[in-house]
Amino acid sequence: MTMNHKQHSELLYDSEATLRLVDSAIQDMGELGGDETPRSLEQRLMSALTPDPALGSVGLSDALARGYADIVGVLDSLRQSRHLLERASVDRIHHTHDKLREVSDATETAATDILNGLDRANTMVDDLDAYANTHGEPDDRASSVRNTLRDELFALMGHMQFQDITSQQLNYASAVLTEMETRLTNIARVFDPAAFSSAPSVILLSPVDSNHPVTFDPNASTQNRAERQAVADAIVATKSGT
Amino acid sequence: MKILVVDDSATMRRILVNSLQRIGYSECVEASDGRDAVEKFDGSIQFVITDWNMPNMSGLDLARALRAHADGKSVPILMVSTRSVKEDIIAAIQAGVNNYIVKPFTPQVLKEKIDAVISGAAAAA
Repeated sequence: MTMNHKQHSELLYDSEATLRLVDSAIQDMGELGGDETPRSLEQRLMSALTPDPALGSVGLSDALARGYADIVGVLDSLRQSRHLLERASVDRIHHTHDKLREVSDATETAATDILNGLDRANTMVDDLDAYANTHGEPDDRASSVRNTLRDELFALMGHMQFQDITSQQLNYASAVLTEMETRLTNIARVFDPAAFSSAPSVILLSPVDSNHPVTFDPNASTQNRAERQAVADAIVATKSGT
Repeated sequence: MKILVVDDSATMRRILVNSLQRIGYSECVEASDGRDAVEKFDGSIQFVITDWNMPNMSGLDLARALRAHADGKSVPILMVSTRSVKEDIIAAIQAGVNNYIVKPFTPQVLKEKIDAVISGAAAAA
């Protein structure tokens, strides 16, 4: 279940309207108490709850009943907020998390398939070498072409390092989502005090699979390799005294 | 020269082993993390190439463990990692790493660093 923009707006409007009603009720209670000086919410509530012999009990109980009804309305709105927040945000995070895992797995599978293909291609080049050694070169360029092909295949294999780096980037993105989910769930619980001691109604993402623990460098990048290597070289030269 | 290649990514291990074979080092032992590497490390290992970020035991902890190991006090260690923050590289050197390659690497850089570490070790001996 997701919360659309219209639902967001309606919920916000309802919450604001209810809070205004509560504020108005509290002010009414303050006026019943006959005190014109500005006071804190706590003071006004305490004042409203303290019996005033001059007013009698009827006026106070009406105000309290109205205030209570308004507060119940606010709490209902907040409970709805919590529920929608959990559903809209957490469901979407779950979905994105799953998609990231899917992409990561697909990339790893593709990388393995490509490496297997490169191995097979290298074996074929070796076969061509063996054939040329046994039967002689078919023409002057054959040996050069085979060597160039082998170099190209080797270079392609090196490019497959992108898989390790993107995998770390995806793991980092998943970890950020997991943290966001935890924070949103905590906020949702704050909306509903009754849920403080209860278990979350959503299943939290598990950042770590005990069978496949994940580690990553949050700054993993394929960019500026030469510059970053130069920094490493300078530090190594300084520290090792070479 | 027998080289221990340590990386949790099977793709990276494959690329490293292939690159090593290409530059003339055909005897490689593979380990999937630091703990696996410590188990596989013995006196026959003459060079260690390790990643940093790995489950169970990181490359940094592996370097420290090897330096505390009777057979690992002087074994050359080359770290190959995506980490390129200055403080990280300093930490790696302090942990006992001899040289450092930032991923993604080229076979040329790999060869240069292996040669540099070996010549440094030979000079120190």
